[in-house]
Amino acid sequence: MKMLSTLLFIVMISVADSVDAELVVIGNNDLEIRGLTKKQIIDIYMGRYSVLPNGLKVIPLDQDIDSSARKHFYAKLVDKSISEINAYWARLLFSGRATPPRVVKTEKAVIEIVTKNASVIGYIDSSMVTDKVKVITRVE
Amino acid sequence: MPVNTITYWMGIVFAFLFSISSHAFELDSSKFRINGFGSLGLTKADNELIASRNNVNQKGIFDEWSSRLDSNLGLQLNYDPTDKLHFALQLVAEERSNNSLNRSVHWAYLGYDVTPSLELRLGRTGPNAFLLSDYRKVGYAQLWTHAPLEFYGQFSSDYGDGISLIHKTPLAGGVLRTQTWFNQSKLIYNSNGEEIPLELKPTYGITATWENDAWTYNASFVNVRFLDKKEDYKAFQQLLTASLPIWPQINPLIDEVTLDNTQAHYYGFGVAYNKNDWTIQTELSLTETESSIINRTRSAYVLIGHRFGTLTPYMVAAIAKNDDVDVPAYNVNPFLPDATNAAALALQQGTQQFADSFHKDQKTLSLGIRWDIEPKVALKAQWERTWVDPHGGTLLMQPEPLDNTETIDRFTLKVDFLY
Repeated sequence: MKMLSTLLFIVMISVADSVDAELVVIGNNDLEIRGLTKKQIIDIYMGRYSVLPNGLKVIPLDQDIDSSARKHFYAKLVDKSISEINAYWARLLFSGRATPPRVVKTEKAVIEIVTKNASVIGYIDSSMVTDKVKVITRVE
Repeated sequence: MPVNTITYWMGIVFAFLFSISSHAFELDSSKFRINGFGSLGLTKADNELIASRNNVNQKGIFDEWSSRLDSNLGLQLNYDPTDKLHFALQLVAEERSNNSLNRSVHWAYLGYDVTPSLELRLGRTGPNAFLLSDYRKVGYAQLWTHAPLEFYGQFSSDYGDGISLIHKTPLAGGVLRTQTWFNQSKLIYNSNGEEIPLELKPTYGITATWENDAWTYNASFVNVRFLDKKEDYKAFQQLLTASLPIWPQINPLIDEVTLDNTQAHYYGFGVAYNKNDWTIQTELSLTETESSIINRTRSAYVLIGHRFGTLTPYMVAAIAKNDDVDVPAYNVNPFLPDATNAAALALQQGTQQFADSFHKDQKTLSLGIRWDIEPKVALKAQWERTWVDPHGGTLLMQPEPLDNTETIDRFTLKVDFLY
């Protein structure tokens, strides 16, 4: 019985690890948009087009290259691995088409920068959301 | 003021602004970035008569191992002093003919966002006409070990000094990026060890790229005027002119033995699909010149790869071809001395050899695999076989004219990285 409990626990841990934490894209409370479509988020984070219909140029923030948030974010957003994303950004960066999003080390730092800059957006775990920022969209 | 001088001063201004911006080593990391890329490649070719290379600027390799063709190191600095101003400097160290610091500077430009969708760039920028654009030097960004010689090898100019305008707009579920430019540059064609410098002055063009999550379409038009400052061809022209009384048929070709003051037009079209672990990419191009000796070149390639975890096997098929040039025959005149007839025949043969030296007729099949070892490191291995039809090896190096079809087997092992 004890062995069964242990196995069940291991399975639950594994499942819990495989179920991605919910990620949300956040923006400054003064950001004059109600929400962004997934396509707009892709265009912004893939360096294609970052100008919103109201003329505002959005600046995206990325998380650390080794973070699980970054891995899950791009997997859900464009179904690509970190290596594929790196190769993609190498193409844009070294051809002068775009510069990759600025990397911020922690989710707290993402919130802090977004709080201070009206045109900056970032992605964090939904459990980290505070009233200092607003959720623009959920990454599903 | 010559544009080269402007580029030189752009570099100085960049360095100066960097040094005076508060404290150089305390710059806001959101405004200043340093990125780099590099490749270490080992290549083995197997033909003693015709040398393999990646572009016409390189000195090729015969039956030997070499690290010269597929190795490079790049450094890029981006500095955005304001939301609208951008400076960029890119240096690439690699094997090239007539190497110099100036030729290692691929970018040195100032960009200004006229509107959020429109950017103006002044200074030195990379070539823009191709699907790979100027990231063809960045091995990590590509699936293969090197871009196909048949398509990319004939365009060995790495930069242009001038002005360009970039516009982006959402269109039909994707984003349309249009770039127009007007600049000048230099190209050095390594012909069997002899370096032939050509000026491309002016160059202007437009390229439009539309892309969404899966598809990229690219269409380009470029116009180039070549200036050949070497005087060698003038003696050749004088010789042909002197032969006109006994060989009048050569008359239409006399003005065409040089590229000096010749216009060329490039038309390119590319499509890429990159989704669901598939990479499929193809480009077609047509290059026309005013010279009937260096005539219409058609080139194309197809790349197909599929990703299995960290491994991506791929294959590439590429072809380049232009039309044969038949130099008019010299008809032996029985009323002339034998020596005169012999000299005229030798001149006809020499002219034919000269025309053949610009002939392209080759194709390559490549098989390879890319292994993403680390998020910023990839190991690649590629085998390729190139078939070169008689006199068709202009893109390669052939010290002696070849009358038979030749094949080259080439193997490349390469590590590409970002830093």
